[in-house]
Amino acid sequence: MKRFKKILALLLAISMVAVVFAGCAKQGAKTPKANQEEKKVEENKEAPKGSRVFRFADSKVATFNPHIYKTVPERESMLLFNGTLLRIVMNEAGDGYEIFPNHAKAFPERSEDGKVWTFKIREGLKFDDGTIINAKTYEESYKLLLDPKLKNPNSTVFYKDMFVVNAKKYWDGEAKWEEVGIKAIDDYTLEITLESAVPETTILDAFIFPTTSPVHVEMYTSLMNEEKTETKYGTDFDKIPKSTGGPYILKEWVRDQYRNFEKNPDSPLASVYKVDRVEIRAIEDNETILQLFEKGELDYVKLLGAKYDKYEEDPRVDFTPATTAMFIILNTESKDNPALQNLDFRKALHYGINRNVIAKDIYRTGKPANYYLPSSYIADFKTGESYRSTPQGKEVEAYTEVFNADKAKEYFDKAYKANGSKKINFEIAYFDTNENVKKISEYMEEAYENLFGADRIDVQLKAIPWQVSYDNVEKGDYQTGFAFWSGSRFEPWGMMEFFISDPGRKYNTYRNPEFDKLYERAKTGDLIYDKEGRINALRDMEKMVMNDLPIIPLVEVNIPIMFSDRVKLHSANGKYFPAGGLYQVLQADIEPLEE
Amino acid sequence: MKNEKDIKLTERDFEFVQLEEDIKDQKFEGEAIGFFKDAFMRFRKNKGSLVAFIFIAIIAFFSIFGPAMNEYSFREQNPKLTFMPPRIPGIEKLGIFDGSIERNLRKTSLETKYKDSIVKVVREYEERGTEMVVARVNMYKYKGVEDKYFWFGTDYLGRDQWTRLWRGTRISFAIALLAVTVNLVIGVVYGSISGYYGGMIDVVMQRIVEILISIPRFVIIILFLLYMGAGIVPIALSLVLTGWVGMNYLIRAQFYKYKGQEYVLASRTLGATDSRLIFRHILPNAIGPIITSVTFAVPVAIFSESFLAYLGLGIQAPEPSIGVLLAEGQKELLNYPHLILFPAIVISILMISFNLFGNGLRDAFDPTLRGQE
Amino acid sequence: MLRYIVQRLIAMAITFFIIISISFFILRLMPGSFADDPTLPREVVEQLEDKYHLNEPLIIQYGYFLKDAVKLDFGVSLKVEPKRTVGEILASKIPITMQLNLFAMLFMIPIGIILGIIAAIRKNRISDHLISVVVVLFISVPSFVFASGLQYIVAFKWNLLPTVLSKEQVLNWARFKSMILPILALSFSGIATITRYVRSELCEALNSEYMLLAKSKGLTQLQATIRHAMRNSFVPLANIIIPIFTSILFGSLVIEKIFAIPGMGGVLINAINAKDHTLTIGLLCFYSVISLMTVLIVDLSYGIIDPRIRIGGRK
Repeated sequence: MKRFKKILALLLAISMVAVVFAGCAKQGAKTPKANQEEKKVEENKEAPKGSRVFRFADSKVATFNPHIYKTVPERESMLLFNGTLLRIVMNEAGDGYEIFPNHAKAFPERSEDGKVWTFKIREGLKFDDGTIINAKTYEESYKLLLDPKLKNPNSTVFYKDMFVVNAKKYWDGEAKWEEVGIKAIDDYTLEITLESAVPETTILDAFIFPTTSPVHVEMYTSLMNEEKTETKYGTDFDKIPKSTGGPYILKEWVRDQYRNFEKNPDSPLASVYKVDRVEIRAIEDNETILQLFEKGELDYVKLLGAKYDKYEEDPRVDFTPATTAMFIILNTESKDNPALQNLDFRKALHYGINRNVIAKDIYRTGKPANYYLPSSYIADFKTGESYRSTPQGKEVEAYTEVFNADKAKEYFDKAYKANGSKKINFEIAYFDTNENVKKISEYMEEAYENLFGADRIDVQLKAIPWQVSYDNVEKGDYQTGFAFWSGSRFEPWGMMEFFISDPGRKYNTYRNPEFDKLYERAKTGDLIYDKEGRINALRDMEKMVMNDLPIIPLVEVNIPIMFSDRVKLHSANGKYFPAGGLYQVLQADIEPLEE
Repeated sequence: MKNEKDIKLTERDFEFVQLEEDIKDQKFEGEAIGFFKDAFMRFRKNKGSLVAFIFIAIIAFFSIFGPAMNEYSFREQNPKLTFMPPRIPGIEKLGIFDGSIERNLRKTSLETKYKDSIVKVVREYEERGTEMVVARVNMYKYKGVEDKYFWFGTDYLGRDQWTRLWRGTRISFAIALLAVTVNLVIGVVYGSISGYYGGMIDVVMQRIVEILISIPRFVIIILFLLYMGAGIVPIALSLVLTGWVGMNYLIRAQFYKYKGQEYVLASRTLGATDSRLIFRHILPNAIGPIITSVTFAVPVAIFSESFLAYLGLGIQAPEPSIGVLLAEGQKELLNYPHLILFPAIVISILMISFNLFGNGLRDAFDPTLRGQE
Repeated sequence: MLRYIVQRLIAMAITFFIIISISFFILRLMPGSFADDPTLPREVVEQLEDKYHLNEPLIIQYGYFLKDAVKLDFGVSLKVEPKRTVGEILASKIPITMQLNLFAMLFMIPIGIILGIIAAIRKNRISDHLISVVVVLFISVPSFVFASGLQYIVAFKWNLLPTVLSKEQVLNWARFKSMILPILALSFSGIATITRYVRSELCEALNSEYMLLAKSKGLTQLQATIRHAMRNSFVPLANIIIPIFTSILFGSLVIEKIFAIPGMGGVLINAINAKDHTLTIGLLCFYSVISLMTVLIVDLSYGIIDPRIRIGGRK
């Protein structure tokens, strides 16, 4: 018996020691196996002295598979080492954008009826292992993107804003590939056939993001499982091509920790991008990022929340407007609170919230918004003019007010009477994981009760797990819901999809056939080539929404950022162009790294 | 041979040997003291525990009367006065808690925006060609509210932290006491039965416990809060879901230790019932560990509640609790440490005090120390 | 004893099965879907979910799950690290967390024991109270305060150590330097627990009768303490240390976030939040096995170590 116990104890001890060594061995195994390219990786771990490197911190990437990625950090990293047919770059003067034909020789040609777009592909493009990229590669890649067994979520690019012939059917498994409107006519010509004509911005939007990059077909298919329903492409450093003809080459990827990129001299963008090397560290904690920046280990930092206070007067601070519209959805068909059905009540809510307080005192650097589309949305991609600075955009801004206590009280009196002069129970649903949502909710509770009288309105706060909030709104089981909505900067019309009567998923109660008509005209109808007409449409759509107030817009968020001294931005006035991506930085003049 | 059953003994068979004489014995020198008086005396001797008890009482006192001590309510917002540093009258003359905070300012602003509010200039430096200073700014003067005193500063909506802290302590106490009491009852009963009966009953009961602790608590809590809302009772109950398990293990271990002892055997031979054995003979041995565990469990409950608040499952806004305050303070830890400083001090004092208090109680109630010193 | 172990192993298997089944159903009860991109049309979402049988009745889903689980195939992660199997994810995250925490244990166990001994020997005197206060401070001040504080002061203000985990993948000096601060931050609560435990056990041991006997035999206080009291009080340390070791596998959410360590911290919570059902169940299976083994080992350690306890005996 004693021996048995001794053996047991020994086993325990051995297993613990084994684990220690396994840990060390696994750590060791993580260094890449003997392989020429991998050997180079060892040397490239830290930026060599004198290199023009741009270092920053971002969230970790869950995957590098272009067909399933979801987040912005993933997109930005993938744009570095993936090739795309088209790219947006800063123009020479540094005061606007231009379209750079990356893998395509030029912006695609459009047929008479606008339904067929033809790309001419450059010659000499290749993957990092030398495999050639041509139109056939693109066709195969899109075939994999739409594969009915893989069911890739990003396939919607071909059947949501623009409708490629039979693309959805193929994805459903109801058509053959030959019937789909994507064809490589010859080795260097790619033809896309649509069911109906679309404006240029839609095409632009579809082909500047990694979703439509080429994939290494051989690797992709060799990494599939038996039933061909999943592929391990993009899940690890050794399971992706290090470059699909992109401007940079992926040199290292340690999951959840860091990723490094080096310039690809063979890319068409080699002359445009000046940065030699990009190093991205995966760090979630903002304070840590700030400390690394101050220590000189990072070249870029965002000052979120109250961290801005200390840097209020620092000359290094600049601003980048967010692309996310932030607003509260109101259930205009609410049974729990019939007052919400009354437009006067909603107007009272709209005028009664002091957005200046939210913008300045809660967000510090926000801008009060009494409109839907944030300033970063661009009305004319050729000049980069933001929609909000157009006369039409300004018209909407002047249409209602950012705060008017008296008007609010007037509207509330009317609504109160209509409610039978009974106390109105208003519920604001918030979720705790977004710090600002909670702050704003608490502020609104006090503000409304003080303004309208706590005897006439009772504002209750309700905490819901955020997972549930969009679900509740979809089901109609809510009075209010916070929404953060974003889209592509070059497609503000896409943002208006939120309000049509029947989008793929409906998160509000607004149904207006006139709005739908206007939306159709701007997206696929007679306005698609009419630049001015489309901007007018935006104005009219926004006004319609502000008339009915199914949502209450709150603020625009401007995020304060700082660049390190080494980064000399490529821009006419030295300031950060509202771009929201890495574009401007990659073209910046970066001083070589010292020490 | 007469059968044993036939022997009958009655009182008449016994005779007193002697009845008249006094039995000379030593007189009792001391008083007879009962169990609790004995415990109390021992407790008093332990200075550390007394001090701890006083601290707990002080905090409890403030949690009841604190919010009433100044004119701010816990909900009252002052959006212009967010993140104000603490300012305590009297102490501010010493240079700490004087409502000032360090800021990086442009040298030019010293004469314009920040005139009159500068306490002192710490150092000068240059940034991108602009001359900058690190200066201590009196935020109360800067915002023009020299007549206001926020003893513990304000939070992100300009709400008075003093009031919120004590109100929060109240709520945290309520949650913790509720949770700990329920945990105690369930844990003791469960552990006793499982430990006493042993065998199959024990195996089954402990397996149930294992199942309970292995199912992710997080999921259960989310579902709980979804259906019941985020109030004091649901949060306390969600802490109960697996909080009693520790007590269960403790009691069970004690039972295993003591149930084989001779005095238990003796009692059983004399005909004691199971419940009498459990509650009168074995359980009192566990009083020591129970007390230590319970007194420590109160701050631990507050901590769990803080972790829940950090994950977004805290008490409903705008009510504060120590957990919520800790979670909020953590977000701006290095810029505005006063937000986390005071709740952290309170919970530290509570933990230390409960610990020392618990130690003292345990020593006081330890039956093996009876009659010593 | 052997019979008891076999009994427990069988019970463990049953318990494990029940845990996984109950968790399975509870998880599917959670509202929301892994395809939570709000811009995806409903119809597309449904097809994505159908691929993983998420819209069928729970029983049928359970059937699919069991069928695959028997082959040890838990599928691939749906959202957190898409298309990677649970095994791959664990294999890449556990070593880091494990390494960090093993160092932490190597640090905290000796220190905890020493502090506990000092506190017990000098019971109720100044040093005891001091140690108690310091120890309780370690537990009561939230771990992130220590972590943030250490990072700010040591790595930032004094610039002595790196702010985040180094990029080196082998355990060389540079990497170890970057691990010092997280190791310290992780150790604090462990030190506190061990100190408290050792102190209380040793106190009890010092008060017991065999100490009296030892001294009456002629041993000095010191000799008696070392030869008898300490050995007796260390022995149940197993049931403190083993749970600490396994709680390590859950990773420390906050510390790993602050020091940018790509470990296990929060991976279960992220999986649950993301409705990544396959990953969640896979992780749960892993954690359950570890938990159950821990409980078993601790129970056995009671029996092995303390001869007074007869595990499994009748009343």
